[in-house]
Amino acid sequence: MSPARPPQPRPPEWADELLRHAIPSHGETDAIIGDLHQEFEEQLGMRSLNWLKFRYSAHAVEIALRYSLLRVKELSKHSGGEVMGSFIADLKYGVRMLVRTPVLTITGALTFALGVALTTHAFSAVYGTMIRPPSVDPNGDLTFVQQTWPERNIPRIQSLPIHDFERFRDQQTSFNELAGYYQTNLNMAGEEASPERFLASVSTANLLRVAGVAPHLGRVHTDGEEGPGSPRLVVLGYEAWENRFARDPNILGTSIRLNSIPYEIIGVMPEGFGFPFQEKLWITHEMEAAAIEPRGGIYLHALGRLKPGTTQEIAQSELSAIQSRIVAEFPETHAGIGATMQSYMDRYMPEPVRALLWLMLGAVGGVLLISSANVANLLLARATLRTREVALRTALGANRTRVIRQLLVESALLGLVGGLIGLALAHLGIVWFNNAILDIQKPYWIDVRLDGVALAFTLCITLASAVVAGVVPALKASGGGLGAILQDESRGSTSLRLGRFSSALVVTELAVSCALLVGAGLMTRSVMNLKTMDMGFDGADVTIATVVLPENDYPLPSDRDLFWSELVSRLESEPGVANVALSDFSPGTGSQRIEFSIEGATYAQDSDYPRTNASVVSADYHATYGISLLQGREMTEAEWRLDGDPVALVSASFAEHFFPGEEAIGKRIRTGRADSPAEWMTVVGIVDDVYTGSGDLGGLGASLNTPYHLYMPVGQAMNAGAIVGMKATGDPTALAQVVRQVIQSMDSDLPVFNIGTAEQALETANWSFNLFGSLFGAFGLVALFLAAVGLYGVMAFSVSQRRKEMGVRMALGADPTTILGLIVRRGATQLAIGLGAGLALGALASRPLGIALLGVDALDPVVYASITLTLGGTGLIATLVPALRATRVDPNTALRPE
Amino acid sequence: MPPKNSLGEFEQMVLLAVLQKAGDAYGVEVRREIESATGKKVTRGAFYTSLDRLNTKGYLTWELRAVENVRGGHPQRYFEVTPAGREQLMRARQAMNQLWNGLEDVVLP
Repeated sequence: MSPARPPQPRPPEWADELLRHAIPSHGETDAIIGDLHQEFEEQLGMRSLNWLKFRYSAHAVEIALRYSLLRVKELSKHSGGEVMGSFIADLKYGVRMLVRTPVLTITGALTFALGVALTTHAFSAVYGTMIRPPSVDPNGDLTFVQQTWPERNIPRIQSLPIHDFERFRDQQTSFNELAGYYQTNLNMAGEEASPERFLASVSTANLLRVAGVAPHLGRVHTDGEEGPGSPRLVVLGYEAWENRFARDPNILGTSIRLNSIPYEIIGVMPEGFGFPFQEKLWITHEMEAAAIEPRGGIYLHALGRLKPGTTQEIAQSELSAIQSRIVAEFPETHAGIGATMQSYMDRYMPEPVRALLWLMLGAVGGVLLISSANVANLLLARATLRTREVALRTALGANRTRVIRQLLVESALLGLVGGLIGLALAHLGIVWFNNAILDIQKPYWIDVRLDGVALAFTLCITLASAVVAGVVPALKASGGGLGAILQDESRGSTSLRLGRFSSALVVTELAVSCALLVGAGLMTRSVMNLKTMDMGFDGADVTIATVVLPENDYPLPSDRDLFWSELVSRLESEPGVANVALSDFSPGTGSQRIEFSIEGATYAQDSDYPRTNASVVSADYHATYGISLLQGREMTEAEWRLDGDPVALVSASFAEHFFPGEEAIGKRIRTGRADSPAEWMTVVGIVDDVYTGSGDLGGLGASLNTPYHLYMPVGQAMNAGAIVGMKATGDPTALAQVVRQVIQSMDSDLPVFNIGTAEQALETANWSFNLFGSLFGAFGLVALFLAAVGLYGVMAFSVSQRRKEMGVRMALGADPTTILGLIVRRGATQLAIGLGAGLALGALASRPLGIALLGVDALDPVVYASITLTLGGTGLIATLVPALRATRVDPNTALRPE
Repeated sequence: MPPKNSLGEFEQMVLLAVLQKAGDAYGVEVRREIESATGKKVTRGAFYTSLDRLNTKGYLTWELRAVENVRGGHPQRYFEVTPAGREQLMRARQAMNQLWNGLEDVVLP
């Protein structure tokens, strides 16, 4: 196997595309691109790649602009020559005017740039995750077939037992075909590299055919290559092929070991493919349905494409019909179970995340608003300064439309420059964002980048905001007769008229900034809470590992029971291990939610049944994770095992809520409703409340969880998988090796994965707080900056407008402090109004943020108070500085005629 | 608007640079020749559009030469000044000479 050559660095594709569009056909586009390539290649190794790419892009843009300008000139010669000619004159004039006031121009452009950058970035994030359909599902017809259990209040069981799956597969007609799969992790070992673990899909033979993506090399599984006795064939993901086999083209037919079982490689999927979620390997299952009891075995996710023309309703009714036949066939195990569907995109982009992303887009739109308002103010200021010049020109015959157009052209130019800078900033932001979500468990097709759609969007909002920012100043500056303007100028009342509009803008800015800052503040507090809040448990010195017992090796509950109890006792006897516990979740990473009933209580309707968070645990769970035992005792070993007496523990809130004023210990509880086959469990202990987390969504919505928690014995569920927790007496990292060794010695083929501390697992499982916290935090900072700049600009301008007035006052003996007071009072009023409106707006807008907050109330006083202080303080400084400078004005200078 | 058959200053420089680099008169090299002679940067947009203009006026031709393994596979242009171009250059030169006559010491004594 020959090592692969690292790919040759290439200049950006879009630049070449731009040139192909800009250069007319008789120009030698290819040769020009080649010249740029040549210069690029010559400098490789001497300069950083990013710098060379940037330079390449800059040159391409410059050439494209030149050719475009040429075309515009040609057009103006042929048609509407005069209109074009004057437009170009406007352009040149606009550029000259902007260059003459560099500070204003740069401030305006940067302000625009920030607003455009954030909005484009947020749009790309929203578009890339929720709007652009994944290439594997362009028509949205990929659908999951799932089940429901309304009696047990389970609205959605995501996967089907194999018996059910086969019946759906054979009887359905709404889909082209149904494939089934489950995810697992496989250890790959071979001579090529050290063993590595990959997320794999174990499926029916047709899964990749349902995906409809052709392999990059070789083939995918074909019908019949599944079930017991089928050949062991694996399809590799591109990543595995690249990293382990250096893209060896002769890889097909070679053998590798997956979990110590040899598999033959039959194909390689294209780069970036990870269907259905993030899988990197595809093998087929070896289950034999006949040997498995109903609702037994490993469950399969069922996925297929709806036939064209088949509506949701038709498919749903067919599925329900098939489901009723299944229920009729297996009444004891399947009674009450129904069928449902879920689209592929919905499954992987759940509602709370969507809501949050849209909220982010809205927030960012607010930032754009602020930045446009800022630029409008700047332009207003400048338009006022030039009122005389404009009035003169109007008087001398330039028509008003032309004047307005010229001013609009200037704001458009500002917008263009700002937009381009903003685009560059957005690109950086997207690079950062993709980096930040790199390690998050997300679908493989999420692709956030600056593509044609994002660029078009940027162009539109840039133009729109430039027009908005330019229109009012242009109208105001060009209105009014010459005489009135010249007269007003000396008395400063023009500035008063414009001043009112400007004040309104500033107040709006302040309000929107304040609202944004409220959101940012709340989220920042959540992030801090994640690190500092008392979660009710102590995970720093607990090592956890996930173990999954394969179906084939441990088919019966008694097999699993033996393994788990053996594992626990072996680990307990290891030095360095204080306590050992098994559970379905480690604390803070999620839990089940179940209905239950209390012995002796009656429930009139199904909706009366109480609900609680629930975990399945072994003895010592609470001791292991440092959860305080408040009353009673933990389970004994006999009790958590398969045939033990059913007992349970509950959280303090659970006891208080469901047994108010009574002794909870001794009461009996049962999962499910009145007809539930589960056993009655006796409450033997009460423990401290614990933060539950919400596994799938990175923590979103966790704060809405109730604190009621029920701890049930492992023996009641005897799952195939469990999280093993070990409390370390010394260094928890040493236990990683210990647990691997112990498990290997019990069963050398058994994979052990996700080894880390319980604290790390908590952080990883709650990634949403960090991600959204950073995003909103960044927006908040930008909003603060923009608001401060805006306020300063307006204050400085209005002060400069009233210089004469102040000079007169001071010459007449007014105390500088009084003047200071006048100015500051005006600014403070605007600030107060803006802050008030902003806090109210923020309180409203932060309602939907609730799901993304952790331990923070949407009306948290600390946050609101600190925002008021920060923004208020910044605003006051922005007002004081120009005011102080104003009082140093020499009355003589101020009174001199203009 | 200058008459169609005259040479602008920059266009003259382009043609002269092509002649200077005879044998090696490719795009990148010609542009660098101008930069070296004037001591100033030459914007690529102005350069390439000038090439097109000179071609339209009939003063400059080129032939595409394929390359391998470099330039991303994109071809090179080898430039040549046409006889008409040479004529225009001579005319421009003569005009300049006439105007400069006797002024060497006057311009910068």
